[in-house]
Amino acid sequence: MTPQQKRAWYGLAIGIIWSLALVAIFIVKGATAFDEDAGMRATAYLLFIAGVLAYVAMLYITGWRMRRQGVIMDERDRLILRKVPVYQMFAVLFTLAGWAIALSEVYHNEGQVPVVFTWLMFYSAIIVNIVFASAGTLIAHWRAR
Amino acid sequence: MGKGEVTNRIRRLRFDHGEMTQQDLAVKVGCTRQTIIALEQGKYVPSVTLAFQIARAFGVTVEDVFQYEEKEPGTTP
Repeated sequence: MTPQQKRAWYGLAIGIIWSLALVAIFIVKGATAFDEDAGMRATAYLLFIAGVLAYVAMLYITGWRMRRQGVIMDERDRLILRKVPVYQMFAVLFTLAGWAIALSEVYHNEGQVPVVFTWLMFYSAIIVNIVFASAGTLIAHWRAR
Repeated sequence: MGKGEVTNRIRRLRFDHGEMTQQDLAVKVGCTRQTIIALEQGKYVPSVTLAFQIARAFGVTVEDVFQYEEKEPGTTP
């Protein structure tokens, strides 16, 4: 396993734990509580920021360790990593399409969508983007085997 | 022009050079061992720069390391 793959596994683990934690809050409290419960909103905001910080910290620490160990990133690694944004783009597009279809179908008769879903769409787009930075790296390495 | 295939003799040349390890060659040319493995398995075609570096590491020409075989259109491998 290359250092880039190890880094991708760490990123994937952070992304999955982060997603599950956010999903758990919305399941336990209920999505509609987001509008009324200031405590829940604060928890969700903090969790979102904590996830981003944890991911950035992981990138910084693993990058520092790779530089210290003199890990080389050669032309094949760069070629593999160049494919990752494609996976990220498709993952985000499918996520947004999923939200658009689901919200349109569920709230079609009401003619309006609760505000909480704008936040959930934003959270999910960012999380999917980050998760697929890691998952995309693993997929690209797997396909290059 | 038909689609061609690049093959190489890296594995043979490593053994001819005192059983040089993949890691030793990777360090000499500044790439990863995974790239050497992929090259030897024919799963990766290197850039011109890396091809020259590999040839230089063995003290031979690029053509001694890499061969290009052109296939006629319609022929099966």
